[in-house]
Amino acid sequence: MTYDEARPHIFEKLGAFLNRPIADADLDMTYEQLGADSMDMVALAFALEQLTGRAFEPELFLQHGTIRDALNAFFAND
Amino acid sequence: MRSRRTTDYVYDRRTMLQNPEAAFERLRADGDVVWSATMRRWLVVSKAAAQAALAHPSLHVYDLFRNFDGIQRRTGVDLAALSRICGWIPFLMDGPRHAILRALFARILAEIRDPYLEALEAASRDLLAAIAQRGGGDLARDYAERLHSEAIGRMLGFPAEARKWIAEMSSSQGSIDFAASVTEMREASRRASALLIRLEQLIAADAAHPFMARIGAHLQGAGLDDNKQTRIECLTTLLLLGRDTIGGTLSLGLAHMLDARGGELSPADWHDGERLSGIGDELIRMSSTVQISIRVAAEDLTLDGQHIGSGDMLMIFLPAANRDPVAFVAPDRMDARNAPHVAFGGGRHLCVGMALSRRIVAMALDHIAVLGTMRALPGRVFDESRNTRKYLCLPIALGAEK
Repeated sequence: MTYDEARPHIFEKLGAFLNRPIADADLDMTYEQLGADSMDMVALAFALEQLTGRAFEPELFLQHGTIRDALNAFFAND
Repeated sequence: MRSRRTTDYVYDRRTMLQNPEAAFERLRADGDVVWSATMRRWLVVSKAAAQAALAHPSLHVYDLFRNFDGIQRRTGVDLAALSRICGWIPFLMDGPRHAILRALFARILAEIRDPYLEALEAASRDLLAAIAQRGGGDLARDYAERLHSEAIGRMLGFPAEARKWIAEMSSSQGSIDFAASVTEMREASRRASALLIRLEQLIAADAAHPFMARIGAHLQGAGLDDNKQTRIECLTTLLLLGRDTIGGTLSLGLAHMLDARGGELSPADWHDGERLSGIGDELIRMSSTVQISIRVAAEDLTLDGQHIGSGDMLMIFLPAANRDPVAFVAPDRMDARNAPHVAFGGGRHLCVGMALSRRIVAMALDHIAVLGTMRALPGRVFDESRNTRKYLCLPIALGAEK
């Protein structure tokens, strides 16, 4: 699965956690700016695992300041 | 206002498993207590700062139960069994329940100490005899990781097959780590559920067993509900808390001893300079199997000259504190001149099993020395758990290389 294929699901999940619609620019915000906490990130990692069938380490979100950077790192390893 | 000491370090589980000291060395260059902007938390690496943080009344443990609730709500994954068991672990909470549980487990451990050690001694000799008979084996899987559940299982009269199964199922991976993945937490909850069911079946065969009756008496004495379910949950917690800590301490420590002597230990090495009993605590320090203690500031405070804001999170790296070059004369080798360590934590969450753990390690070393010459073999595998670093596989052969 590519990032483009996963994108609508990621937006849907993130929107559900944050209880608001997600725009592309949200992916470039820091987690604090986004209003996401560590549970959101662990849960999003799980959603991505379910979606792609690949292990997604929650630490990837610790290693990157924004969701976009973390996703780029994850999908770059495809 | 003074600026924060910062680091650009970010936690990487695989690096931390393979070579934590490299990460700690880099962190030490930034300071004893440093702010990671990327990770959005404080990292504590010196022994003095770790001791101060662990003892600070306003630094509270991370609320794992809020984490479980949140994860369940967000993902729909059932973590009920995991939550039930973690509700018995003293170091996962502060306040009145923490005090009650800490006293409860202290009383239980004090009471079972002698029969437990007797069972552990027999288990240790049997497991090592099997390794000796095969001319070698896996010191992690076939010995270190099985000791604790073997001892408790033997005390309760469980059959050998059940004891082995319990050893495999009582891993703490995913259960007490705030940053575990949901997949790991789901697996931990599945294991907890299976353990609860199996232990209930095993206990049912001897419902009046004195060990379970004593747990019941201590539950009543602590003012907690005493029934079949709470007794089983308490027993499951005992199993869960000892398996990885004892297994990790022994597997990492033995690997360190082997590596420090070029991969081969002879009987003379076990008495090299120090009596065996003297190296036990150093082995615990070098192993530092528990990796991280998480604390959250309940109010603004100062630690090592750094202003910690209310709500800030701290990661206290216990293995880093235990190899602090300022605190130990020989931080990277086992040396009886080294100062006391912090592998058991500190403050109000100091490990309740500390004294018993020291006895277990001393006994295990005493027994292993009898194996004679031991050689490290390739094929070591680290366990992937975040909260306890340990070997999943530590192959050895007995006898000198021909």
